[in-house]
Amino acid sequence: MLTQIIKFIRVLGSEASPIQISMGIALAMIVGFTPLWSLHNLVVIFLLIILRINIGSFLLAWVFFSGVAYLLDPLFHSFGLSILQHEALHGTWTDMYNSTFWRVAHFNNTIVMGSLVISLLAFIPLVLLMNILIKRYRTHILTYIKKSKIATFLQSSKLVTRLSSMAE
Amino acid sequence: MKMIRWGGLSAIGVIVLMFAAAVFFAGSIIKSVMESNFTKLNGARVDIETVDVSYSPFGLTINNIQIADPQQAMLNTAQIEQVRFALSFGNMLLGKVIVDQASIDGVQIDTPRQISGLIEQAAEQQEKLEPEADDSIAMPDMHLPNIKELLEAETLLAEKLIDELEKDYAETEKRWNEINASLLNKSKSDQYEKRYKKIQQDAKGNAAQKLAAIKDAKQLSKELKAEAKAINQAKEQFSADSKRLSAELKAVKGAPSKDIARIKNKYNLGSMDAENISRMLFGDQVADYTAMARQWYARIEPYLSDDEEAKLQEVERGIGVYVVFKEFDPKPDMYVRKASLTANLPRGQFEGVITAISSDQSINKEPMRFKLQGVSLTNKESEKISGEFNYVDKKNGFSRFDYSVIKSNIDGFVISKSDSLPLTMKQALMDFNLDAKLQHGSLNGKVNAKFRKVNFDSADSSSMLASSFSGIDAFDIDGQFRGAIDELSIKIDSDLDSKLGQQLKNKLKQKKQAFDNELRASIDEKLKQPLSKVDAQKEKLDVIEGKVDASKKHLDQRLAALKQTISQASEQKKTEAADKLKNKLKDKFGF
Repeated sequence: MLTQIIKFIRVLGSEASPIQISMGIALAMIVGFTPLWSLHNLVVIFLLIILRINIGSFLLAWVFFSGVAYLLDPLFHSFGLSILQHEALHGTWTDMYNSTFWRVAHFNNTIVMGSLVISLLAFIPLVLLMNILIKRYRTHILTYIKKSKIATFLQSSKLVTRLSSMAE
Repeated sequence: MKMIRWGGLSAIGVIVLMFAAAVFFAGSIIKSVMESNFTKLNGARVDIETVDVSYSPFGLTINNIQIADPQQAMLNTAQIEQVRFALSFGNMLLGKVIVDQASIDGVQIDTPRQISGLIEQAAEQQEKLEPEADDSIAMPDMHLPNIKELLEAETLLAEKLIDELEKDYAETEKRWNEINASLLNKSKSDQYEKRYKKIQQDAKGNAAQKLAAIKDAKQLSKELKAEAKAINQAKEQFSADSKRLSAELKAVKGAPSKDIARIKNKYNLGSMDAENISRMLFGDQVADYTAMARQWYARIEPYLSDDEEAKLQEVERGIGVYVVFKEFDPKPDMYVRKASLTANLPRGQFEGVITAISSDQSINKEPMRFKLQGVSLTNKESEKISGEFNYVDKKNGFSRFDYSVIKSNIDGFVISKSDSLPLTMKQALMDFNLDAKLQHGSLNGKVNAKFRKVNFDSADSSSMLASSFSGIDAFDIDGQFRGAIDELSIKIDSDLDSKLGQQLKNKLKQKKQAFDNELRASIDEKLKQPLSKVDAQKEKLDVIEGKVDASKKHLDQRLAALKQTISQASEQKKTEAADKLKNKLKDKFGF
């Protein structure tokens, strides 16, 4: 756990742009919330490989969101069920059900539907929020910490060196 | 900032290469998966030589499929040279095998295997299996059983009754002897005789003696009456015992007839008449076909039964629930719209079509139908088999089979291997029809066979039965079967019986009568000694009864004599008293 936190702090302090980190976190939310073996996750992985998105932040956030998903499963199920049973959408779902592509995508699974809709709805707000938070962290907290005497002392201490090597 | 990570493309390239490798080895992978799954389903090995995959259109060609018989390790239930079909790739991604057109070529049945078809688990189970009892139909046999051996094996009712009767006689004799001993014995009888004689003497004496005689006679009469009463009671007891023993003896004498009837019934000798000749002759064939039907039913039964119950979907954590919507063209997990079939069977080459092969007919709403027809047949004009597996309505699902052969040349068809009547149909022309329907585990159907231009050949041509067949050149057989597949009730009718003629019936009747007589004589011989013992016991009882009767008679005589003595003595006494009074009056009054 400590290792993960150190890794995350290192990622925040790395040279990666805030948007790369935020995108990694937001995509990790999709993969973490939704069942792993889903068609849309192939798209996510493809984007992760092709686009310059921070993979470190993605992996850390994936672990975090997978844990959160376990707690939110009942919510995903009931939300997905209400969407799939929505009268107005019945025709659409029936059409999609008769399409191989959507069937393979498991759109009719309550957890896939619920978690995907929630994660897609939260995607852009999360990217924007994380972007702002990372920028502020770097501007205020990280600069302040780097300039402080204690940081200078710790950087030269054996503990920090050891923790850093563990994180690597 | 550059958006694209060019290095990522190489990772995708690696993935594509891996996929290509998987495609390259797809045939081997599919072969292995198919063998494993089909073996599990069949309960014995299913071997596939090769699987070729084509991608445009996506299809499979499976070569040399050998489906082992779970019951016979070195035999294939079926061997298929090649199966070709095009698959719907999209449906396959959904876990469904949907085939529009398939061809199944070179089907053979019951082919030998090079290696054992048993899987380890099945082999263990088979080792534990008890050998199955021969449950073929019990045929009435022309051969009559050996009477000596038969009687040794049988416990006769007559013997049992004789044993019981002997015991009863012994107990009765003991009881009668005890009663007899308590009745009038010799010393007592001598005493009574002595007293009787004294009374007789006293009765001729003077008045006082006469008076004493009357008194003694009354006393003796009273005692003799008591004796007579005891004898009467004994006689009543004897009568009741005699009645019971007579009834038991009568039952003993009637028992041999019952034994004969029971033995004839047990060894199915009662039904041995000409009406059953067709059943006797063709029973073996029917039993063979029944066994074959049971074997095939056992093979296909696992695919017919539907034990799956509709399960309520439970919400499983992390799995969720799949909401089902209406499908425009619903298909089960496995569906083949049409499959053409060629089979090389021992009886000839067959071609046919199977439609709507489905793993769940309630989804595609159409029954599976098949039709096979013989082509370039030898020794027959045509042979067809068609059928329907209709499990659209699972509760009322049924299977139907129709089979027909027209103008089939019969050559050296062994009808009966019986020692008493070995019979072969040397030549004949046969038309055969079979309709059967299997529903709820019950098989109903009818069979009709018409034999024309028949030429029988019996090795035992000297027998009357065998020679009766020589005049028959045509006959029909009609059969009906009904009931559970392993307990079929079969009825066979044929005009063969009437054609065999009265002569055969008489011969059979004589044979039966001779058997009856011999059986009766043997039983009588067997019972002779026990019955003579019973007769001796009866004689003993008769002697006891005779003795008691004699005593009774003697007593009755004595009682009658005593009565007469008392009466005479009393009369004499009265006369004497009157004379005495008359004399006194004469002396006193002089008249």
